[in-house]
Amino acid sequence: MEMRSCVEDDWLMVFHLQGEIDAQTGPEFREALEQARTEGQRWFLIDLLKTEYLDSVALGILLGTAKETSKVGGRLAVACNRPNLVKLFELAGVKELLNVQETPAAARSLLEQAHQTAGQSQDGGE
Amino acid sequence: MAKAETETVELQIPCDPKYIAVARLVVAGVGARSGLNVDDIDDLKVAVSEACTNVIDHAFPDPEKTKQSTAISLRFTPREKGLQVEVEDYGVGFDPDDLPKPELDELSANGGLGLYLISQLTDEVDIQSAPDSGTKVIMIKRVTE
Repeated sequence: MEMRSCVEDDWLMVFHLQGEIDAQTGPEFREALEQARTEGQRWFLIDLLKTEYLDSVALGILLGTAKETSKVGGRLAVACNRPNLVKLFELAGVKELLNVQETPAAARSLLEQAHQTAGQSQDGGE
Repeated sequence: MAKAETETVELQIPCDPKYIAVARLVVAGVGARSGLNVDDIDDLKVAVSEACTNVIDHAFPDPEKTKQSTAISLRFTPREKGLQVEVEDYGVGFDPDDLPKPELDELSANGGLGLYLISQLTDEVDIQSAPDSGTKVIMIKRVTE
């Protein structure tokens, strides 16, 4: 698995994952996400367009991150268009929970809307 | 050329996550020779990986003290219109009656999602296990007509 990450526009952390996410490679991904959350990141876009394989290990990591980010007012979205991987999100019943979109642009758009809404609520509360 | 006595392909991998990808490679190779299409093979790769991950996570709570082999044995046997895969370990085992029935609503990251996916991605699953007697997961994936 190859992993790249960057922060875009000072708020959105994007992970690009290439190859296979399983019990061998998953821990590296989990640790990177945990570190980012520890550093205060709460908006995540997970780009799986170049991911060829994932299983329950990856689903568990994504679910855990989605749960933790939502607790602090953030959100996670996934970009994935490989039918064999989308099938797993559907079988596990987590496609909506993980905001799985076909393209990174669609995932980003979804997160931008949520981010704006969160910003407005914060402004309204101040 | 003499016909092979059995067409079973056997593989033994160490109880280590880095070898699960090797099992997937064999699934792809044997699956293609058994008539499975690419989608069937993708499903079976996940199912076999989940079974191996379960062995690594649960079969040997204290691997340094175990006297049994910690290896994972895999057997791939072509069946009529499909492929049977057995994933066997010699670990602590469990009582299959104690397994929670896989209900999607109650699944969590560490609470049975692997077994649930195995049941959804294969056509038949049989789990044979008993405390201190290891575990054998037998899966059959049929060719999509």
